Amino acid sequence: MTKVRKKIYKRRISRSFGGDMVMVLVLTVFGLFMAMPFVYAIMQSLKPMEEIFAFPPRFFVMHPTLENYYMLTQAIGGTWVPVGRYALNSIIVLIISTAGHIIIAAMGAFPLAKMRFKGNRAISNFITYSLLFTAPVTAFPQYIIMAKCGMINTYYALILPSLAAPIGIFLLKNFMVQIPDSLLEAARIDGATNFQMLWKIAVPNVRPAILTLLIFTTQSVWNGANTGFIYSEQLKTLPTMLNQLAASGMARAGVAAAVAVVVMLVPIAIFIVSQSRIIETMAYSGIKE
Amino acid sequence: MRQVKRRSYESKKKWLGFTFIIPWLVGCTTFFVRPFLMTLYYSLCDVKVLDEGVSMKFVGLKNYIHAFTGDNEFLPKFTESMNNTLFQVPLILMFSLFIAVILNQKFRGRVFFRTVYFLPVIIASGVVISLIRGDAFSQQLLSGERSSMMFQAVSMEQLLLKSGIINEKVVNYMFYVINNIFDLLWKSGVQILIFIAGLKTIPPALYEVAKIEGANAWETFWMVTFKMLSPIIVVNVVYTIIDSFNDYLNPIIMYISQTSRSLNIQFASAMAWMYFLVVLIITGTVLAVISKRAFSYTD
Repeated sequence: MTKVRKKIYKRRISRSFGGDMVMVLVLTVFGLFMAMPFVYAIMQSLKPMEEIFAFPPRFFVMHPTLENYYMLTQAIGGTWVPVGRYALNSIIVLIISTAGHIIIAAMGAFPLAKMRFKGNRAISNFITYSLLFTAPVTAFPQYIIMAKCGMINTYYALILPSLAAPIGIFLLKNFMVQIPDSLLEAARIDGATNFQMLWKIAVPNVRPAILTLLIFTTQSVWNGANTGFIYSEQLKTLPTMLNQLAASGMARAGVAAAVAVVVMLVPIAIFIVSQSRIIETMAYSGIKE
Repeated sequence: MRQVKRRSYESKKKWLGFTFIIPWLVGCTTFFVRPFLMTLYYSLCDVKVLDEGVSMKFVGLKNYIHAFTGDNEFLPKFTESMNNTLFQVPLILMFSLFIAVILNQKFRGRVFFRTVYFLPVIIASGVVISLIRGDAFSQQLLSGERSSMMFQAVSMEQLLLKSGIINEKVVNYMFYVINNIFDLLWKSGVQILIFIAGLKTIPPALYEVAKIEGANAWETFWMVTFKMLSPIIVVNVVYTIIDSFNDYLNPIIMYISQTSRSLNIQFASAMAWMYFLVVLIITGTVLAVISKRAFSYTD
């Protein structure tokens, strides 16, 4: 049985060389446009000063140099709060926000998707529409509320709002709805508690969604949606600090490009790691029914 | 006797459901709903931000009326945003589904290509875009008004123009024709990822069945992939609608945040609420129409 299955599976995935080429070609054509700004930032970061300000501007670098990166390390060495402190802040905020957001979202999504109770539909609709709340105007009242809670200029201001973002619960609920009820019933008959059903059945079954959510969360936390609520230097995150460095004047245009490249590296790394894990786990075990 | 027992189990279940959701509900209420309701109050008031705090005076619908009578930017920007979104949403969805299906195949370098297609999301948010924009600002000092648009908003077109990879006239013409397509590609990163996650949860057994039954690729796509993916398509439709309406490149959003930054809180709030209500009605209607058609195991 397993042998037959393996054979069918193999036949399905192995396609002609020509088919592969067409696919890669299509992806490359669109991919060029997707990658353009990233490549542009790298090019800018490798340009010496006179090339950056050349008119008309050129896309490709003529005389690549690491001067901008060197200047960046110099500038980092010159900050009065050691760079390790910024990195530590980033790590603390990133880990707590991401883990917390995923746990809270998974917990909230499970009963909404798989339990029947009064108010379920109302809360589900409320979540969908609360996605609309991220309008720019809420920043001002948000600041006032945080100030009242005494959270301005603490880690809480960075962490707590991202824990409660509606995107996670929205995404996970819609994925969990698709888990067959029979799977959960089997678990219940075997004596699983609701908590066990959530972590042992529901969460592993929506693993691709969890990893996707991981990418979204780290991405938005790293890019610092809430950095306006922090003014003390010791509590700022690494991207915020780098941004400050880069923002200080025209002479640092090259450094700014170097910073952009450095700041992008972390989300890209997280993306690659989590995407390759999606493939590993789901290609063989992601059977729903 | 039996009924009483049953009811108590039901109510236990109800509370259990609630306890799981409460952490999120509390957080969301504090950080999103309350600020949002506060803006409703602001929109009905005359708000002054002073050194010692915020002073408010109730003025009724004055700010709302002002949007239609006293302000000549609100309505054109509002309709432009509406047009943008209605045009964009179907194209973004089709493109991202197309790319996601391709990226879901097994071939060498798929993680590389997935990363490439997610790059715009990483770039278009937060620090990086402000750095690229900041860079544009310093260029602007040298080249006059050319990049002044760039300072407000970044799109593919402006990046291409600015990078000088091709002649400006060619770029202008190219983008006159297909301008929006490239911005659309750029906005599909999140949708592609959500679709890939959805495709991953389709049981491989269904494809085997389709194959054994002799379905060709076209039929397999519509009968298996599309059908099994339909709940995720609903998710993506909602996400795309909301995302396009709230996109910072939308003229009305730019106008609202500009007004808000200049501390004209009451007028920004009034505009945001009118926009919110319209978007709410549109999203609700679309959701009501399409979610019934989505596949679900419980049917």
